Amino acid sequence: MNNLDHNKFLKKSLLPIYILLITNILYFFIIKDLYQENTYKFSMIWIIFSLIIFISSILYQKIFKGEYIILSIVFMLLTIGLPMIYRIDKELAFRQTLWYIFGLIVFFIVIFVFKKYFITNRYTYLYMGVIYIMFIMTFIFGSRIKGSINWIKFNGISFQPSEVIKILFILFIASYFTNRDKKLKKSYFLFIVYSIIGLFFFQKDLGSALLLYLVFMSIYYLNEENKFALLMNLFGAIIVGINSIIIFDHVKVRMISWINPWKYIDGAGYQITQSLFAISEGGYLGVGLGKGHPKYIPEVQTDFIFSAIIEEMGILMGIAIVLLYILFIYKGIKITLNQKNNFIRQVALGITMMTGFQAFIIIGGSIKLIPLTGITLPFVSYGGSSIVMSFVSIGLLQVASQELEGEFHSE
Amino acid sequence: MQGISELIKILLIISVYIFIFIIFKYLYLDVKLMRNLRYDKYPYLKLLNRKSDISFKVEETYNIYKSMKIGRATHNDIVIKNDFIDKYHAEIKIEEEKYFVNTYANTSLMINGKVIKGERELKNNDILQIGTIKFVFIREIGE
Repeated sequence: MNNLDHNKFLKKSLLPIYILLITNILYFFIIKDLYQENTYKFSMIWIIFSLIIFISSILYQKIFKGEYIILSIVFMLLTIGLPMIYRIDKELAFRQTLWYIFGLIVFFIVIFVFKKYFITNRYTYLYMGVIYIMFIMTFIFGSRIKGSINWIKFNGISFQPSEVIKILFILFIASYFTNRDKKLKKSYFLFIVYSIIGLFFFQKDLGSALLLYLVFMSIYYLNEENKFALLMNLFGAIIVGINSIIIFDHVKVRMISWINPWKYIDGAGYQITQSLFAISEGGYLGVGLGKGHPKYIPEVQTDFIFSAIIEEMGILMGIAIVLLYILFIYKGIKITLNQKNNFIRQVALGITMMTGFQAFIIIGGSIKLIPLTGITLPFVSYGGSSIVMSFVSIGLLQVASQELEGEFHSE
Repeated sequence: MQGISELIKILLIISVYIFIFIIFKYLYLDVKLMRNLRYDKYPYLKLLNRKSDISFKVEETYNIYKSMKIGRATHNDIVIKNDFIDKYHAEIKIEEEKYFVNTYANTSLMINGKVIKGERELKNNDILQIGTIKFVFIREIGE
């Protein structure tokens, strides 16, 4: 009876997708007014984008058992994000569409490959090795873009290893915690984790360092019986944090520009003050797409797209984005609760936490709730590596939402 | 022109909220369903072992809505992949609103601590032990 009811409930529904398409078409009309020239290429982007959404939703619901709501939520975020990127820079929107297609292909591949070969906690060392290789590559071949050395460029394509490391890091800690005491000693494990976070810190990629720390702590909290060790980790981080504010200039700047950006409006506080101006400009319904000045904010297409959306589409759209993330997190935790394979369960939790914290860090940063650290808003911001790896992460979530045979370790 | 694009923008925001509402409704149904699973109108077997002591897959509850077979093989209605359990171990039958448990030729199980072979009626709060797994049979009378 359980199963029957459940299946009936999960009866595949396309209703959210229709609403998505309507939203998409409405966006089309708004943006069409703005750009009369170059209509051909522009229409192509929109038609391709709508088709991608529709086809992949149908494909997804036909092929796979399990969750389809996550993908709908993600498509909604993409639908909100793409017009904004288009409005900022048309070339970027074109490239972003290509990244969506690539991301979706990777998404489907990940579901098949991960489900077949990787649902096991034996690869702890593999994940660890790949993470370190990524770091070494970044230090050797990396180029400094926007203050942090976290880009690798070859043949004109730049690629951000930190996005890949985030996913590998989750797989690494999940496989350690489900395979505990068998291979790796705990002290070594903690050393490796903190060395990874530390390496991000020295690359001046504070956003990723903070994000990985939060994800690590939340999974550690669930797995560690010894609450004292947990408190020690927390205290250690606080002490290191405070010290690094005093010692390192790049951390100090963030703190100063958070506490009083108005004093440094021509320098360190410029970005955050412009973001606040943009948000206050927006009001409830925004000034309208194309009528604001998003380009006044540096890095608007990646870090500050949230402020730009609020400026032009209003705070209601901003709240809608936050709600979508909340639904995403809820769904992710639901998947985690239902999954019985311990490894993939920890992975699902890690991914949910990562997406949630990432959204929180950058939204909080752009409304001056917490100190600003530059990371992308998942699924909304412009960024190839970010989009592709976000699709990988929801691929893993999708695997987690299926019933899996395999190792059922006691907790 | 100005008015139209303003109108479209409002429609757009409304459609995003409709989308959120629909997803929210799905999630609400999901939660409601989860809460109702255990309190179904059918009698059910409830697991007594602590789930953390078990290294294989067992559900917390099994609703008995038809005659059901218990065993290790995947064709059974209640699949328990434990070595102490036979491929086809036992069967729960419904006859004239009474529930019977029936073991197969070379299997046995315990009800309330006594070893049972063959057929026996199940009553409310009977404790059913199959291998190392204990279930309590719950049948609310009057429904």
